[in-house]
Amino acid sequence: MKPLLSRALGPSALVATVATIVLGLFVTPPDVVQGELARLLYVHPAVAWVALYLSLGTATVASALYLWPRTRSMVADRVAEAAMEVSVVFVALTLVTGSIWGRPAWGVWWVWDARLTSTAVLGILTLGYLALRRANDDPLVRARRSAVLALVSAANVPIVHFSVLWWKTLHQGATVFTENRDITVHGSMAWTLLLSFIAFSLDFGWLVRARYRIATSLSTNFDRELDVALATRRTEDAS
Amino acid sequence: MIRLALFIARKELRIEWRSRVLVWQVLPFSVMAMVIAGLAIGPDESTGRRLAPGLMYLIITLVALQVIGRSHAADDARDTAVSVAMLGIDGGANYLGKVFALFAHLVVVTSALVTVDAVVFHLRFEEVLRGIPFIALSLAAIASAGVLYAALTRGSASLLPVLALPALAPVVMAGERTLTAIFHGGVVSRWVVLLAVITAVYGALGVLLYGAVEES
Repeated sequence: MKPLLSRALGPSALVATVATIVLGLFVTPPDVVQGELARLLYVHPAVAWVALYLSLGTATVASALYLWPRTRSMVADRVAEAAMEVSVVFVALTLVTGSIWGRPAWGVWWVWDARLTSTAVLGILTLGYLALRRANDDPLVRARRSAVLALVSAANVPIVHFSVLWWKTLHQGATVFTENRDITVHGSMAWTLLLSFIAFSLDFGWLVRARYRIATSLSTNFDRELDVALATRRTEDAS
Repeated sequence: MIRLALFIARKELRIEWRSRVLVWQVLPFSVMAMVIAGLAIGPDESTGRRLAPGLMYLIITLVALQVIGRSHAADDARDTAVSVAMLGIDGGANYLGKVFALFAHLVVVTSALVTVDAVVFHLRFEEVLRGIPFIALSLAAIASAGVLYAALTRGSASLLPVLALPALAPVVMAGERTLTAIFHGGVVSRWVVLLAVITAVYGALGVLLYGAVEES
């Protein structure tokens, strides 16, 4: 029997995502300045939140737990791998949704802006993480090296986060967590924005859980196949 | 730790001194790459001066990729990593030693590269002199990141550019902007801070985590 929280994750992610779509597309009003284009507000920031903070944060914590001798376990390694895979998808979604917004707003699909460039670099680093995992067959070597790479990659997150403050960029600054706490989004738009963050966070949780289960099954199958192969070899030797 | 690091660095430099790969292979490649870049851009002086910093950093990065993996490849060829592990040498000291050696290698190549860059793209002597401390800082950043990535990709050399290039992208960008600011006017402080932070962060992570990577 699965725990209640685990069973509730999928349905609640689905409900929250559908509610975000309905509220974002049909209930909230268009923006005074940006019109219908502002509806991307209910996707892009939440997707970026998952890509840069939630998934990379999860991968970083799991990797640190793996490297720390007292907390070392393959569970931490699998969680880090799952979170990093989900991060690749969400970084790609961040760049795509940003690009869709950029075309009508800035007139171009892509611009060499500090936030965009640093996000793309981080995306390539997360792809590198997955490439590194596939380059090592030994599970222990793979786990250790990828844990170190996850920590090193996480060092780039502050560069992405502060890029809009450090450099002159086209990308807008914070809307909610502004320096003088002057929130520039209100009413149904604010609530839908908040819901989108919850919905995509739940989606992230569900995806990581699903990926973790696949990784566990693969590992179990591998062990089973190894046992069968060893038993066959022993039988051959005995005969 | 520093004494041990200097000992490791001396070992690395001695290996290089005996093989002379840097002098006979990497150095000619870097100079040729710069000359070919000059040919591709053409004789226009203003275009050359504008592109010189970026081209120099691009070639430094390509050269660094060649040099970065060499130390670990040499270790693997001679099973040095096993000997170092059996001697119980601290991972942090080993990392720092390799960083010092890689920095020295990059300084040698970059010295030649800067000279060719100045000649081919008509840079002024005093401009180049003012840029040297900042170039040295970029090389320190490349060395501190490079050694860590080389260790991570040990045994799969084709993976090194995949991991190291995006990681070195901020260094290339900050280095290019710094030199452009020196040559054409502008603020350098922000880029210098970024280079210093990258060097410090990779240095700290390297000292802390290199042992864990080598253990694997």
